[in-house]
Parts: sequence; structure tokens; C-alpha cells
Amino acid sequence: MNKGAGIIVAGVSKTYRAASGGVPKRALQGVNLTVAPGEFVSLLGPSGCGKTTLLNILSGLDADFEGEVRFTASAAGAGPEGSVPWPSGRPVIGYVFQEARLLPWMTVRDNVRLVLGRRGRTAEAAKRVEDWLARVGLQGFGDYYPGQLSVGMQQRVAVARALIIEPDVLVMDEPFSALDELTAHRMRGALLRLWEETGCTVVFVTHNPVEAVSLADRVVVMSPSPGRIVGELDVSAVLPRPRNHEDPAVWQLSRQALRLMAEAGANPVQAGVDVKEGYGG
Amino acid sequence: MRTGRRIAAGKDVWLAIVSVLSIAAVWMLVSHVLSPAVFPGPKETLQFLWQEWQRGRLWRHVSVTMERVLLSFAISMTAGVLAGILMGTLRWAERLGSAWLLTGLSIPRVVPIVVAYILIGLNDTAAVVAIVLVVAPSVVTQIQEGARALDQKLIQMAHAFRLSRWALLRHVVAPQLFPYIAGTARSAMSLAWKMVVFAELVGRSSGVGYQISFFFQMFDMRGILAYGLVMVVILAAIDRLMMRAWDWYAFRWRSRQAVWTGQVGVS
Repeated sequence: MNKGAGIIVAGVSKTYRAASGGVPKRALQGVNLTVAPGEFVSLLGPSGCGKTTLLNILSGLDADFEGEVRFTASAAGAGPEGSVPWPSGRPVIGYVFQEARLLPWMTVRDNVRLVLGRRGRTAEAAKRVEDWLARVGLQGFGDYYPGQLSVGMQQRVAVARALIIEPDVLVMDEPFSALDELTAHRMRGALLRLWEETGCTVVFVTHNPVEAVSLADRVVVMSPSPGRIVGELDVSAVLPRPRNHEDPAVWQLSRQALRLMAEAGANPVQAGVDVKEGYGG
Repeated sequence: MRTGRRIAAGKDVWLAIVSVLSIAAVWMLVSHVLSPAVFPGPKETLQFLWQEWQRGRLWRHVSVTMERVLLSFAISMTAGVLAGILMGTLRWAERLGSAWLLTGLSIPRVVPIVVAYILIGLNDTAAVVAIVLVVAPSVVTQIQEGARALDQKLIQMAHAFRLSRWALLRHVVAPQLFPYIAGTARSAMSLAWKMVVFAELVGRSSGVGYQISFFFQMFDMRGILAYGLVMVVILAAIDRLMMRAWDWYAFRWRSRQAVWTGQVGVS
């Protein structure tokens, strides 16, 4: 079921035009990034470095940018002569925001079903909704309203909503940053399991180096605003899966990631040139 | 918390009854001081009302007035909600409509009435047009505020999941606007209700406003108070009914809503 899409981000820059008279703000500066189909990539950077901007560009929410974003099909998913298999020309993208962003006037079930659009009306779709609620650990919560659930459970609903559309790419914007550490830890475990089951590509934005390292195949480090890519860590080469989050290598790698972030912050101009950090492994 | 609320509700009912009785008491007192011949009290007024009912006048005039109110209200709400959504979400619509809105809000309310009667004639069309011109701008401003306060994060979510335009409107935008629409409906109904009497007084030969002007010419205070009282009672009843309907709707999910801190809760 490997249906993940690859992503190629080439020279993407983004400037927010200010309201009349203000100074335009450069959010992204020449970002190049390649993500393989089915890969789990963490985008690590300080708050306000343009990570969310990059996600919005990737997911098509923001079309106003310079540069290019392309998607590639996985070997299994590609059609004849390598043509892309997506009818709309774009892969299906599931989005999990920092907050759950559920509609408070709809039950959990209806919130998940809503994103299926017209396909959501069939009995088969109803079964899939129940199935996905069970897969995120919310069996029997379909009739609840979001306000009756804890923040962690709401975020589980958001994950089910993003995955039920069978995304080729799952983008996640600091999805666990508002949760307590124990809940976040459980959610990370659940996410990895679902990722392995679905085979989708994941772009996971975070400002937490430990989280980035413990989840991703590869950690891409961004500089403070305007966001550039200042280095990356190939985690999968050092930490095979399944991972033990108490593995000392997690700490070692996350310290390296933190150092990359700090260097970029301290010396924004030079750090951006060409830092590809090695790792002790 | 449930029982606490119920006890509070019981107390509220008693306070509401006391509130109504206090009006009657003050009315009676004033009537007593001025003498019932000059300023009839509740008893004389209700007696007169009963006579009007038996003569068949009361229902005839009240029903005509209600027809005019409902028609003006429906048109004002439809046009006002649509314009308000446009002006609250689209910058160019806001710019384009701002001068109209300002004019509509600040023009003395009698002007549209007189102008409509002169241009259209002394008929119901003119009355309805005039009332709509007065009521719609206030609907627009309130809905515009609701549209401006739409939760952009939910709208972005809808875009991210490629919801259809219809689904966006039906499931994401409309539920956020309902509290504003419900609040606006109450104030628009009350405004239309008062304006229609005004319009009838100036240029119609039927309806409650006409009756009031008739009794004014007869210097018959009982008639004036009787028809005024009827208007108060009916509007209060409509207002309660609208609030009930809204509460019933909102209760379906809001009572089960602990965390969300959006803008719902205006009415």
C-alpha cells in the first residue's frame, strides 16, 4: 500500500507584503528540499522561522510564492511512462494543524466524515469513519462533540480526519506541541504506527529537537526568519526502527540538531551558506 | 450545575412577573393621579380593547400591520444578511458599500417613508420599501461584524481538505454566523414593528398606526393606549418565541461545548 508521493521544493522564497506603508517581511529564502516517497521528514526550526509558511506552500494553501514545488509518484504508484497517478495533478494531502481545528458544532463522527465530501454519504464511508476512529484509539467516541474531549483526544480526531482521505502526503504543523509530554509521547507512537501502516509521506514541523529526531528518517534544520535550510541529519542511518526513545543516540542527535539551530541563529548569514553537518555514528 | 440552573430559572420567572406587575402598578398609579378620564388605566384600556375586538376592528388592523411587518422583515433580513456577508468578507464590497451603509444608518427615519410615499404613492409597496430602507442597514452592520469575526483557522482547514464551496458555507461559515443572525433578527423585528406604525400613521388608511392617528384626531386616549398595548404584547411574544427557537437550536451542541472559545455567544 505504498502510495506516498515525493516532494521537490526548488528555490522557494516567500515574502509577505505588508499592509500599506509597512516593510515587506521575507519569510522563506531560497528553500531547496527533496523528500522521497514514503519518507518521514521533520522540519526543525525556531518559532517564526517560516515552517508553517513552507507547509502551507507544500499543501497548496498558499500559491503566492517564488520558486517551484513538484510532486513525484512512488515507483509503485507511478502510471505508464512515469506519469503521475493523481487525477487532479496534485497528490492528496492531509493536514494536521497545531490545534485540532474541529468544527465544534459537529460530532466527532461528522467532523471526520465531512472531509470525505460527497463520498462520505455511503454506508461504506460510515464504516470507514468508525474504523479510523478506532485506529486512533477513539472507538465509541463518534457521538461526542469536540468540546467534550480532551485536547489530546481532539488531536486524535484531527489525525483520523487527515488520514481518512488516504493522503499521499501528510503534513503536520507542531501537532503535539500543545499536549502534555506523556500524551504527546503516546501520540508519537500512534503516529509512527499509522505511518508504517499507510505508507504515506510525512512532513512534520516541530521546534522540539528530541521530537524531530525520535520520529523522522531525516531532520531538516531551518534558520530563524527568513527561513533557510541550514543543515540536515540523516537519523535513519543511525537509529534503526523500531526506535527506543531512551536510546542515547536520540539525545546525541537532538543535541546536534539543537547546535545547528543555534549556529544558524547566532550567525544567520554564514550559517546559511553550506552546512551539512556530519554526525557521530 | 443542572439543578442550580433550574432553581435560578424559577427565580427568574418570578422576577419577570414582578417586572410586568410593576409596569401595571405604575400605569395604574399615574392614571389614578391624573384621573382615568385623562389617562385611562389598564382596566379602562382593556375594556376598550375588548370592544374593539367585538367590533372586529382590532383583528383587522392588527393583521394588516403584521403582514406589512413580516414582509418588510423578510426582505430586510435576506438582503441585509447577504450584503453583510459580502461586506464582512470582501474588501472591495466593504469599500463599495460603506457610503451606502453610512447614509442608511444616519438618515432620519422619517425621510425614506416620506420619500417613498411621494415617489411610489400612498400604498403598501411604498410602506414596505421605506421600512426595508430603514431596517436593512442595521442588519448589514451586525452581520458584517459576524462575518469579520469568522474563525479563519477553520476556514483554512476547510481549504486544506478541499471542501466544496457549499460545504464550506453550510458547515463552516453558517454555524458561526447563526448567533449573529439570531441577534440581528430580534433587533430587526423590533425596528420593523415600530417603523410600520410610523409609516401607517403618515400615509396608510389601515393598520395599527392608522388607528392610533385616528384616535389622536379624536383625542381618545383609550384608543391610543389600547393599540399601543397590543403592539407591545405582540412584539414581546414574537421576541420570546425567537429567543426560544434560538436557544433550542444552540442547545444542541453548545451545552456540550466546554473548550471552544470562538465568537459564538453574541445574542
